[in-house]
Amino acid sequence: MNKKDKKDHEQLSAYIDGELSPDEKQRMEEKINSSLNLQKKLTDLKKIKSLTSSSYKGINESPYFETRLFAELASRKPFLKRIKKWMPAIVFAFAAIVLMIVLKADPHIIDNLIEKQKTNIAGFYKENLKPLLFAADLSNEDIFNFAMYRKLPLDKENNQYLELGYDTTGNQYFEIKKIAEDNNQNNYQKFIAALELNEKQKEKIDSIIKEYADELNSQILVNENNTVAINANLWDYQKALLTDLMIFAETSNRKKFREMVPHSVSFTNNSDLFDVVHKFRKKKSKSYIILTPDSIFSEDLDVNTDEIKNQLKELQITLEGDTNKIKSFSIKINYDSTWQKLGDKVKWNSNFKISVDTNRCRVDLSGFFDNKNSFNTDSLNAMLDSLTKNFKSFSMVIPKIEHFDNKIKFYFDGDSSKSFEFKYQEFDIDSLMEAQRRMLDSLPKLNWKEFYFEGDSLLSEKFPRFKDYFKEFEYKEDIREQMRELREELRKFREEMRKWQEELRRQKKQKTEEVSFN
Amino acid sequence: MSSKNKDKDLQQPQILELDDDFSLIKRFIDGDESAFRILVQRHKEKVRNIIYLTLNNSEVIDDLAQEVFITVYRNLKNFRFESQFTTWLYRITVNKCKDYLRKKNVRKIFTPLKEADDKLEFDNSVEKKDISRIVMDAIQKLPYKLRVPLLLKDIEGFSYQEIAETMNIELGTVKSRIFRAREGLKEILKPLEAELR
Repeated sequence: MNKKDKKDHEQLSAYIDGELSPDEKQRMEEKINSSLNLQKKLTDLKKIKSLTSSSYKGINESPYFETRLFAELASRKPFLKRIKKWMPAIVFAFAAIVLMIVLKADPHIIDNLIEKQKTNIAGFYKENLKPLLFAADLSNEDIFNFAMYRKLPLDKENNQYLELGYDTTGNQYFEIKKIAEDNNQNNYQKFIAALELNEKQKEKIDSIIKEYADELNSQILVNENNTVAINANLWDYQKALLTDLMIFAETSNRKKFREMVPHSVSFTNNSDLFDVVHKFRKKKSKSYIILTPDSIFSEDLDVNTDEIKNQLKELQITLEGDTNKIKSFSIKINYDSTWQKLGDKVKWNSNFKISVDTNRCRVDLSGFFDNKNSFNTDSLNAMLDSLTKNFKSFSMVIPKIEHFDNKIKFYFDGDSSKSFEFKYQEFDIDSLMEAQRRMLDSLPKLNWKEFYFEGDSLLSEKFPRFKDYFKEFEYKEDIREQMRELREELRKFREEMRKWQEELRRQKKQKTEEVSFN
Repeated sequence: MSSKNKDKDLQQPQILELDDDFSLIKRFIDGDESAFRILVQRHKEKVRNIIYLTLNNSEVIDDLAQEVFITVYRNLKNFRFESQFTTWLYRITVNKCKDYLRKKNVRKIFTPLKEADDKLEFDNSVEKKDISRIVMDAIQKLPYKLRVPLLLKDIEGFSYQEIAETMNIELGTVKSRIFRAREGLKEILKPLEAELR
């Protein structure tokens, strides 16, 4: 078959399929009519086409085809749709992998991040720290009370105080607490009055307090973010202030001073004290304990005292006469849930131990100080302890007492409102004692120890006498117990005595019978 | 038709339901999944036939047809409306068949020789089969590229143009391949010419 024939046969195949154009069809028909070969080929192709077309019988329908198809489509949802429900797990797994890779690359990254975060938070709280002396508008009375009672007001309006202290093992602590009512008023004036200081001496003691107050400026800092920063040197500083005041008091009026202090206490006999005070004052520390509503930490702060002094002067000039603006600087610490949580939050910090109750936030610093001074302060500590425990006479005003037949009258000089009289004949002492006995008898069934009233400082603050009453009651309980035991012993003794007497009687009787028998 | 009904028809002209393939595709794109079900009902038999004719294996028809419609379902939202839906559908079908054969040939390479030979063996005994079976078996002996155009033309009644679009080849190629397929089939059936008369 040559090329032309092949072309013709191809056209013939298309001809029987009806795929030629009218012109091609006409030309092909002309060719077929004139060629026996093409006619034969046409017959063959028609036969083949007929065989092919008729050979296919079709296939059976598939009745479940659609059901299967749509079930398959439902199960073959797009990839994203299918993994949607696993998305949280996938995200978590991916995050874990990323974290593992990151940690592998830099094992300290989390520590660094936490450290950075801590720095940021610390920065926020350290911002705008101002001297407490300015913020709380401290007076000479406050500074004097700080010396005597280690107590400084943080917010006078709300009776919030900072109190320094030492625990039973001698470790430092501080408390921020609310004092229900400050009964210890005008101590400074009473102290001056008790020492009978003259004007010159008053000026001198004022200047001592002023000098210390200026230095205190940089030792206690506060800001409006409820942050209190306390210099680590503050405890020693208080000792120096108290010692300095006592040295001055003793030198100013030795006689009156001796009436006020315990016999063993003398500040002028010990020349080392001057040295100790000097060292305490010169011992500058940059280390601050910073208490915030979120955390507690210690950090070195550079406090420029000269700058603070200048700022204070400027502010005082600006705010002169406008006390309301000054008040806006006072710190307000609310003992709400935020503070309650703080106790738990910082437990991990070994340097500080925080305990918070309804009235106070106490921070124990047993792990913070090494308590090793380069100079010996034991004798000073002992003396100051003795002094502060017993040094109360100057604040007490003893009333004049007049006795009458049926009453006693108490008079306070120049203050008739505080005078009162006690008419004792109106009392039936016997019935009063009986009532008290009945009241006490009604109580023993209760176990008061279970209530643990002493644990909460608020109760002690509100009801200072409660503690004494509790102890008194405990004491009476002990006596009652001893009496009961004694009664038991007496009963046993009586019993033995009775037996012994019976025995004697029996022996005597026996003897008598023997004699009569004989 | 009564005059009353006539009036009714005039008042409420029947809205022609646009159920041609394009309308159904648009409905599906707009979120109407039922439109796809209509498309399947309409074209499933044609698809199944093409698969059977192309592969001459009734066991795989439904599996492959399902694959075809799943492919259509996933890609229908990207349909461009530039050609007939059937052209696109048949092209997918033909390609699925081609893929199946390719995978089968790969498997055959790794099938033990004896087993493979058994399967290849062509049973020429006329007694056991009718003419249709003989012709169908003969068609299966043609190469794939000749067999498919011939079947699409002679059995499915496709035009040369439709075959060209479905198989993505030139129109002249279709003409040539169909002719060559017929010539080949004639040669295969030559020994059985007497029985086929």
